[in-house]
Amino acid sequence: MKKALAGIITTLFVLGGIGFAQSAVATPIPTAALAGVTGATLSPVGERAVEDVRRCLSSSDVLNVFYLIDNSGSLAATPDGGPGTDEDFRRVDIINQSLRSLSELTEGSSAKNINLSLGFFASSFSPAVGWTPLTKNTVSELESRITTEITINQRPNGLTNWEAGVTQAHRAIQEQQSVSPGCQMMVWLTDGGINVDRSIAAALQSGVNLCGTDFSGEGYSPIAPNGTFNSLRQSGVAVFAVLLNVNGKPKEWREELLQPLAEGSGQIQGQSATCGVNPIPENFTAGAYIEADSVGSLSNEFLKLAARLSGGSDATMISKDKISVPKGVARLQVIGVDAGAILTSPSGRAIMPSVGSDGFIDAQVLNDAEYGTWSVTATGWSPPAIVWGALVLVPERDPKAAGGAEQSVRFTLDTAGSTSVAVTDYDFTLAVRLTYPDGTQETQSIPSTELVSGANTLVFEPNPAYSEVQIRYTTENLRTKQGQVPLAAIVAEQNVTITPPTQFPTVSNPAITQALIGSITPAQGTFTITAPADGNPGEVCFPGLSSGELTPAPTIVGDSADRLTDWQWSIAATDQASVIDDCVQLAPGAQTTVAFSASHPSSADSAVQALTTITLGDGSGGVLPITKEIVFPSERIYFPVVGNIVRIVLIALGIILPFLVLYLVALLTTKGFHGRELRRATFPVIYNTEKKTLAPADGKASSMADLGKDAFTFLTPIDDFKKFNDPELGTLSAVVSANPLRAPWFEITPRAGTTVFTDKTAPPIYKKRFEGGQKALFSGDMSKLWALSFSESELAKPESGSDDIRGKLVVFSRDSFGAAVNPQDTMAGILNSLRSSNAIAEAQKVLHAKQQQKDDSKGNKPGTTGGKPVPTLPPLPGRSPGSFTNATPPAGGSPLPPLPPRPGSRP
Amino acid sequence: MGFGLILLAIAVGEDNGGTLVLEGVIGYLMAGFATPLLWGWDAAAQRRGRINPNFASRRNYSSILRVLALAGILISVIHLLLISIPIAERVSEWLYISGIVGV
Repeated sequence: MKKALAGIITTLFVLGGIGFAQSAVATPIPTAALAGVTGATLSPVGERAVEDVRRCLSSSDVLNVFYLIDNSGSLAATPDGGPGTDEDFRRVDIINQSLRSLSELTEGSSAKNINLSLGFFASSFSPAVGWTPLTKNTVSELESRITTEITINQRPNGLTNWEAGVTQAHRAIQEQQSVSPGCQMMVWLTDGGINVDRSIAAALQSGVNLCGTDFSGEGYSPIAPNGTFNSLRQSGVAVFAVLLNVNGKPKEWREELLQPLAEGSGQIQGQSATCGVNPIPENFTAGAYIEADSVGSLSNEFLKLAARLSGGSDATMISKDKISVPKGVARLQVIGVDAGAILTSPSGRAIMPSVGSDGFIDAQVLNDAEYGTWSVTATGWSPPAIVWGALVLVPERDPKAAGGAEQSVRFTLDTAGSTSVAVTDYDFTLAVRLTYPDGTQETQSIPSTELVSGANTLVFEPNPAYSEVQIRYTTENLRTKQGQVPLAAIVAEQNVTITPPTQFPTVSNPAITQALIGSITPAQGTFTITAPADGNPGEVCFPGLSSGELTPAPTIVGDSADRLTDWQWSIAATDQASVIDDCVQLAPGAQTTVAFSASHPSSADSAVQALTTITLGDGSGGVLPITKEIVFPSERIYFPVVGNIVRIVLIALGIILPFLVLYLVALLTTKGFHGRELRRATFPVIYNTEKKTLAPADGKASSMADLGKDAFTFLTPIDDFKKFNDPELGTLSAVVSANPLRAPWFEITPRAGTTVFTDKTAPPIYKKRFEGGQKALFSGDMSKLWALSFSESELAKPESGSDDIRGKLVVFSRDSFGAAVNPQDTMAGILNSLRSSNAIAEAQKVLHAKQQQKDDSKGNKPGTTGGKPVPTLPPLPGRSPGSFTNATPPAGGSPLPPLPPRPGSRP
Repeated sequence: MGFGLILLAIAVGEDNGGTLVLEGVIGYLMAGFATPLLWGWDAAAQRRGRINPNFASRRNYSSILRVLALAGILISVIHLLLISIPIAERVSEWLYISGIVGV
């Protein structure tokens, strides 16, 4: 394991070929005997990922590597208390050894500048080591920091939130690319499936966000188009996703998702699944999925991967423990051996695993005597072995070629200084592909017989309509001539700047000064334009320069989020520049700059590629339209916590708002109806609680039916009301509940010390509000309202023992279509209502109970006041003790008139 | 009508393009705002109508509107979630650019 990561990175830099071609005589082994010995651990997409990295390194000296390491709790222990997948922190050794190996590659003739960063992920992302140049001098300190971080500062804990880790790792790589552009690689190690908030829904949503497609079919949508991994591929990051599946347990969708994420396609629960743009476009960088069932096998997998990245290929000439090494093989490596293993060359040289490199033996073929059969002495070793050739192809760096005429660029073929192996020891065909920014391609095929050791030239005619063309060299069917041993293809790339004819000005490739951050901060960059090289004046015309808007907008040819439209482009020449219409005028020898910016309402993580057409003028009427490629990074700034807060606030407001509207509508429209021609009458009455009867109390009428219509007087007309004060009843009001789902109602609030009753009974939900005659409901239409009002003392009458209560009956009525008030019908209705109602009796009980409670709280016994006996009131004439009394006057309002004599009683 | 508005709102809300916020707001207003408003309007009209002795109240009509309004409010949550993404992005960007929160 220690060598695993180390190997990956180490060998990355040996790309291109550190060849060690020592002459030897190989003993070819029949191909038939070798069948089945090649252990392909990578899928075709994974192989392409290796090629992509190798190709990139052939044209760049910088490699930005981010280690994204799982730090979830399962590394320390399983949920049921079992052993974790790496409870002994063996990953510390893996990482640190890889750093040491990396640092080796920063020296020598093919030295690379390596920038390294490392972060952990569990329930969230946690940075551990910021971007640090990796050199021999810094490696010790880095190792110490990583050890401290893993074993002390950031102990394993939490879930396996892939999205949190990958998103932040991507962000870190993006930022590093703006500082130090180069090849990009993410080594992503996880020991378990995606697990977010212990919720399947959250994990699915997070997986879809990473994948870009609804692989589950559950209807989830990615938070950004095409997903995070498509963005990684599009921006050139090769992701090597490693699943440590301890004991090879059956995988759930949570683990199986890893392959489609890394490689763009795979199987989830037996169904094929794709992520992002598929198949992966040629200008994207593929990723690779690697699975290991133990820390030990993970080490082997890393070693194999490392070997492939460094240009090795599976050896096909192995027979049991014998490896045939023909001329043309410069290095070989046996993987998966024990610490005591020995690799013996034909010359008798015995090689053992080097210190700290147990698990593999790496050997270089030193001289001709070592061509032949090598033997492996090891316990339980089985292939693969990896072999390397010595052939190296190095393209000319930063070449320029004039467009419109036949030009040539150089590339070198050699065997990296080997004296025993020559270029002619290999058979291959060199495939050359020229790709212009718009995707148009030209191809050439050159047999190895036409190539020489040393400098070679590629002849082609650059299309002057473009300012750049990418040339990709690939060896096809690379084999040693002797023994026909297949070797890994050599890939190399060069970008050729196409310059216009000398009578035209030149426009530099855009220098990006600001990345597109979200949708607020636009991407910014500048073109540097230079007068024609022939010393004459010239002009460069940008579409829309005079208006400040680049119109027509550049064509988007690459964007991970497929934002093909809605871009806002601006362009402006410097103040010193002479601009006529859309053209910048250039005096002989002059140079100036033109700035541009681009923004888009949708933010996404991407590398945006756009093509714009610029017209060059030679000052004498000649024009040359050229296409310029603008490439800038786009960053999506999104904090999940902000998203959650916004979501909660929006949903809360979104639900509250309609209810608030309902409440306001009810508040504005709920009004009691008063209207014109409304009459009102008040009658003193006696209510008998036992018989539920009502009788006139003023002596003017013998029964309720006798109450005359003359008592009804007209009220001042008003249309409607929210509140209406009645001198006897109290306040009539329209009430809107704070709960807008409840219908509004109309109620009478009696004056203090009085109670009120109507023909409407309150629903149980409002029982407390209306109990005891504290309030009374009515329909809202005053013309149909009647109400009985009693003083509380009258209603309670705790000591009187009488069934009669004196009160007032207030009746409203309206002349309807000229018909006069009909008191008889109205009174009959009132009496009927009262007969079927228990409201008054219940109110009495409530009042009695309250009175009792009040007395109890004062320590009084019933029938006493302050410990003293309450005097029994004398009965009225003609009444027995305990019957109706008016001894207690109403607390408010007019005093009640004396009780009239009952029919048949003594006056 | 309320049912039609909800269907329309769902259709509008499916677009995930650059005008997401506008469409989300329209969808929300139609599903989560208009239907409760119509329900309230109907309730108010029926209350007023009861004053007229010739008015025949339609309680079923009110019940249907009530169910639709509640369904509309629930559906509007979808639009709110859609709107929340670009809004959260803008807020995140602002926090990032102003230096309040680093990446």
